[in-house]
Amino acid sequence: PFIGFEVSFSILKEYAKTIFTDIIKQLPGSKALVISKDMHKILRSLTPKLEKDLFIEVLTLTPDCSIMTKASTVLFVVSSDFGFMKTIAKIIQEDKTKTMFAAFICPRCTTTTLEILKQAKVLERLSIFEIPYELIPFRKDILSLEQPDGFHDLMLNYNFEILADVKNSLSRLEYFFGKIPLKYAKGKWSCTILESLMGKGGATETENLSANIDVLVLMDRTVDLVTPLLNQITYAGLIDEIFGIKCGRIEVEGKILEETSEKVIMDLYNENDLLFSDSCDLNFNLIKHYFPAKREEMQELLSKKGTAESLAETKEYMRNINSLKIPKASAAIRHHLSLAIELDRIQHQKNVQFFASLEPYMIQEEDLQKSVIDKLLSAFSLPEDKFLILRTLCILSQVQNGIPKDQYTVLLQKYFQTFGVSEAERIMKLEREGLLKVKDSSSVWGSLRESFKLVVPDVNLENPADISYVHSGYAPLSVRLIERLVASGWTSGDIDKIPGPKRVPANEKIVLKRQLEGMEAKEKIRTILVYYIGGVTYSEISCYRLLSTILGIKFVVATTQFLNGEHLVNGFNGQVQTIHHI
Amino acid sequence: VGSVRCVQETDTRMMDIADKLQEMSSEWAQRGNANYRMFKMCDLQWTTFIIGSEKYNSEFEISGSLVACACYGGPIAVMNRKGNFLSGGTHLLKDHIGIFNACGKLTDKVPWKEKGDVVRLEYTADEVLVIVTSDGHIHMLKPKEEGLMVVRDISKKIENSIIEGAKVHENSLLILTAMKKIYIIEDLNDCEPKTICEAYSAERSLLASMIEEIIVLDESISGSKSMEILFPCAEGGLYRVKDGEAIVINAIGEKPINFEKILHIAISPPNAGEKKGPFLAFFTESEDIIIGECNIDGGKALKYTTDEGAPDSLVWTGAETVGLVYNDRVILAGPNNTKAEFYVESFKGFYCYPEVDGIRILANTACFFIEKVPAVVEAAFTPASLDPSAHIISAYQKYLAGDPRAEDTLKSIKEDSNKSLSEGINTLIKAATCEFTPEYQKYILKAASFAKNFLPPGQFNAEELVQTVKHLRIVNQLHVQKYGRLMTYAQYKKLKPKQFVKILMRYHHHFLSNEVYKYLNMEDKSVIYEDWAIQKLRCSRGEPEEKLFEDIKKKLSECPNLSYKKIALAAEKEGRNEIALSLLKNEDSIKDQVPILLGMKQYIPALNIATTNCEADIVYGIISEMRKAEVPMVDIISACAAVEGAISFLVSYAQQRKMINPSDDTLSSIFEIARRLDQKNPAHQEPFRKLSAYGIGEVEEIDQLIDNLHVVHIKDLEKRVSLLLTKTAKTSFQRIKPFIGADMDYQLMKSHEYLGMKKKGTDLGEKFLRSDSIFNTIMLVNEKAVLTPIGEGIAKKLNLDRKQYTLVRLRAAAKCNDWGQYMEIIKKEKPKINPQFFAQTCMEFGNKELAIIFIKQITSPDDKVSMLLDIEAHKEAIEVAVFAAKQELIDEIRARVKIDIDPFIQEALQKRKKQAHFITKNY
Repeated sequence: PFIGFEVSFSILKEYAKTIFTDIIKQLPGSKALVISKDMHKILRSLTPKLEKDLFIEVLTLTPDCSIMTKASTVLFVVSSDFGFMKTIAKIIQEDKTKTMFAAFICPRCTTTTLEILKQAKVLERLSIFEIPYELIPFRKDILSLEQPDGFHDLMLNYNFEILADVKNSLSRLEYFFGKIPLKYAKGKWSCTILESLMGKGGATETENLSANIDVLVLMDRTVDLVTPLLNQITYAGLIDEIFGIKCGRIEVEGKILEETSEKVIMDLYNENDLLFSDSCDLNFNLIKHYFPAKREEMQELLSKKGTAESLAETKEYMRNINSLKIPKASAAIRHHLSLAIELDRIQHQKNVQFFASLEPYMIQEEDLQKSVIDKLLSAFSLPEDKFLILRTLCILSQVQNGIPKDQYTVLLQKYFQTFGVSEAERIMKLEREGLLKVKDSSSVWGSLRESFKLVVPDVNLENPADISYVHSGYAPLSVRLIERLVASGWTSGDIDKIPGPKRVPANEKIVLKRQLEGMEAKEKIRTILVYYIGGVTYSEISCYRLLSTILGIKFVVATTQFLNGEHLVNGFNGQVQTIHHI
Repeated sequence: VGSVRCVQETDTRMMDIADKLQEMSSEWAQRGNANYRMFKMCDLQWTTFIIGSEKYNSEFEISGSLVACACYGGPIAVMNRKGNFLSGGTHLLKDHIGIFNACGKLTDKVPWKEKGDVVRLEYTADEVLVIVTSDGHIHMLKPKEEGLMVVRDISKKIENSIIEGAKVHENSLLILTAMKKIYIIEDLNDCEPKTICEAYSAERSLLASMIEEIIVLDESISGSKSMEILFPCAEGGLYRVKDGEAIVINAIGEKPINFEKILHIAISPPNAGEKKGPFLAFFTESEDIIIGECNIDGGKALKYTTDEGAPDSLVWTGAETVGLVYNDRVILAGPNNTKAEFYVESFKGFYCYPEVDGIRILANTACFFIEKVPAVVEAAFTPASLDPSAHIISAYQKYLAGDPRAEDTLKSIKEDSNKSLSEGINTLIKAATCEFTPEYQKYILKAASFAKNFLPPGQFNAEELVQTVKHLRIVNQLHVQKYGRLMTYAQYKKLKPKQFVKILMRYHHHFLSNEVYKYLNMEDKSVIYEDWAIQKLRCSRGEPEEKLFEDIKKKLSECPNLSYKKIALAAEKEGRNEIALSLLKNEDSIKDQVPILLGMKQYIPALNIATTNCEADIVYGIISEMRKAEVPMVDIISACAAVEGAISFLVSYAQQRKMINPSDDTLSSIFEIARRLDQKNPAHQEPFRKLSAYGIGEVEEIDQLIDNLHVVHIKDLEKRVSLLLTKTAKTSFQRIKPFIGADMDYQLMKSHEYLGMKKKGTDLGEKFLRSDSIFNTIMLVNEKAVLTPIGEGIAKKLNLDRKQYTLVRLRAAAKCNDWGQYMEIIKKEKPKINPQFFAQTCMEFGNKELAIIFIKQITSPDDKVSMLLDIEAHKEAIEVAVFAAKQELIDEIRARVKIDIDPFIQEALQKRKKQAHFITKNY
């Protein structure tokens, strides 16, 4: 254990990398790596220069099952997705040469995966390895399983394989960083994981002041479904809403960024992109001023070139120049400016504005919530409004504990008339999982709003002192829960108003306090790991960053995936399971 | 007085021992510079079994029997060469194999009625008795299996060939067949012979009498670094099988020593000596002895002659020297005609077994051991030895005899130095361990202990002595009848403590194992407890379940970190399912628990464990297993319903099946059964409740129906209509009827209209059918003026909201750029709609002029400006801002617009001024 140091999660990467490269090096003969599209990003994050590091040919797995290589061993690198397994099986079945095959499955090979390969009778020619890489560290404080279908798998398909991944990832964290002394859980899935993690009998919690991670909080996404349904307005959140961040990258049309190429891939967590890491948590209203200011700052610095008189000044100048990484930074500023303009344009679209204008009403008192329904009924819906309407309906259902029956019927009638009967399945699934519902009892939202101060008037966007800045006045419930935990623990009754069971360590009050206190004396950064089962929004991550500065505790967020409202409602589209299209 | 007499008596006995020890060297035989000795390990009382009782039989014919010995003083198996057991007496039991412990006590007898000739009787390193018969059967008897012989027929796997020779090597078995093929069975549990040599030369055959003379050289010791097999061939030379080929060699060593016909070969036991490697020994027809290293081509070798004649067999004395076994003696022959000769008293022959440190000899009445006299023993007991240890022995003897010179003797050693006295003590401690008889050990240790008193405090570390005594106690304990294992201290020391315990555990010597652990301060006694529990379960067949479980539980609670898997498995085998289940609850690893539970068909507990540990993979595995075991789906559903959360897994499992194989019907059969479940039946209530929470396939069915509609409607309209009218469709849609009822009717109508359109020739094509929402259809039909009535009809029939309908029509008109129609609809319908909507539609479909007209009707100047800016009507926007007299609006325009807006402002101001003037003037 590295007492007194900040926990560095890059060890997870190193571990997976070592195992992966060691196995490859041990395999005889010439080798070709055939990588599925989704694994490309993950693998590159492990070893950026695959070809050079491993002296290996790198190809992409295509659905037409063709591989052009002379290598004697073909190594597939895939996630345990059925589609990939079928493709691999087909490739092997059709291969008449003496090529050897091996598959690296990340993070693990499931029974179903094996069965597909078994049925295809290819196991004799195929060796299977696993890359033990569950949690991908994106930044010092973000870890993600990057399973984009995780939430819907759990919700809709009752496919709990992801829970095993979460459990494995936690065991691995404990393996590297020592036992986490305090563990909390809120929600059905979280409690299940925690119980299986603690084993039978449930080990009792005792404080361990030298632990690297002091507290673990497992939280189901279903504990707070309102936050992801709301429109995000932090810079990172907005980028995710519009472009969809995948594995820390976005794909943007070239013309938006004023580039000649058709598509540009922006790596947001690139270490050269200091701009993004500085600005990602800002409320978008400030971004308009932020990038121009940065640009001016840089221009000012460049204009000082040659004016330095003393050596010390020159040194200072060089230091500033280096810290900005001028050539790369100027390109980054240009890109971010263009991106911001595009985001601003989209934000100003009438329909987007219309739905955004409804949000503040929905999280307020019930009377205001009713006015939203009237507005919805009188508005005409465009085809592109589908997800915005669904999000609004879902938020209403969540905060009001359902929509009054008459209005519900009319709203849905209108919905079907506009979007057709093929939406039936989505609506039914949303109903079944309780995201959409007819009001049958009173809502607890009002009391939650009060007791957790979810709505905060007059937020200071520039120098925020409260996490509610991320939604211009609304504080995400899930983060408020963590604030409450740090302040007074979870034993109080408020927590139980939120649906879903909870698990709180025995003698919490004494142990938690001791665990989180005495920071200065021990010269150790106290760390709380919050693990979202079912996804986290970028806005919530911004909240934790602010909390870190306010409370002086390091927050690390682990998640099964990143989630936003559109992704959430879109996932209920009726497909049994999303197959990654190669 | 009693105690004095007692001391005196003890001293007298000690004197006797002292005398014997002094004379010990007289029994040594010298060969060259080395001394050898033979001592009696114990009396043997071969017992034979006469129906109902066991009887001592001193006339046991060893030469007429097949004998096998297990190493490290292990048990002995005997069977008669002719098939009759121990034919020395008249009442002897026929057709049995006798298993004796090393002390000759019959521990087990196994019936033997096989017809095939016994080719080999031998123990493996794990002390499994292997009997190979010529007809391809392998019989195996594990220690303590109480006559439970496992038989494997490998005849088909070796092409039905007769087995000519077999040889156990460690735990594997080598087989030579009459087809001249050599096979190896690496794992005797699965008995899969692997060919290692296709055929050795057919011209040269294997001497039938030499079948036992097969030697296996492991990769680790052979010169070629791959496994080699050696055996003599009848025509002379030696077969050497290596890398699948058999060649005949006639020489050995880097300086080749040639040989012709070989009569016997032997290899010294592995890890026997400190010296390099095991060694080979050959006895040739010309009565030469050849000794060589295992590296046949590159090792050292030497050859010498003996005039003793051909022996019955060759046997190594540890790694020291090779012994020639004759019918009445063993000769250790060395170069230059040196030899040590030991006569063995026995009724009819004896049997020699090479242990790692000497030769164990089984005779009729006793078990003997031949070994090289250890250097420490020589130092202490060679007459006139000058070693300090010899002086100590002499002093101790004097002391016992009450001779005052004892002290002087010791002092004389001490005068040399304290060191030599302590060296002498150490030599004696070591010498004690070399003696097999406890009394001798005790005497020598006492002598050492006596000498210790003469050393200044702190000069001697007694730890060595304490440890030696502990180890000796363990070894001596083995020699008692109960354990019956004639293991020497040297053999014991060759084993690691864990290996040693493993040997004890084979015979379930739990108490002794436990003592060993205690003595040696070893932790983790789980092996012992595990075996104990298993034996307890096996041996307590009649005991009530509850008591047995309590006993086991109580005992096992003494041992933390115990794996309950094997114990539970044993309980299951014994039919103690309840105990197995209770034991499994203590098992941590669910991967260990589930297979056992499945073996017991305990599906619900298995599901329970896997679901609470959120191990989806294992849950799927269990369901698969249930299906394999042909558990009816109803029962699978019930089992899953009984476990919290398992139904979810079942549905997910079924969905995955469908993903793997689209024609898999698990999912549909689950829902089919769920629908048939009798809700009134209490047993079905729970499964039904749980499955209905998942919609009992409702959603999936609708999905299916919609899919069908999409596929069918293009090809077969009649079918589509009939599909919509089916009962399933109606019931399936029941739940969402309030919302999509109109939509369903519309689907029907649309189909009819389509047929109508086709007849009229005003076909909109498949686009019409594909349009999946009412509004889309209305949009479509409004694109063609002729078809507008269809839209009107649909709207009326479905009772659509008039305003919404108008909006759709407006969009349709805008989409077709039919602005005349657009304005007409507005005029005619006069919908109460915000001008913003009209403006937006105009903007969307590119009518800027009309858009500006509508924007101007909007009341909020902010909205006006923003929308005008969107369509780049800068001038109009500025006008609005100026007229509204809002500086912030002008600022916003300035921020968003790239051109110079001041002229426009001036213009607008002028206009405003004029207007103001006009107003003032007129009013």
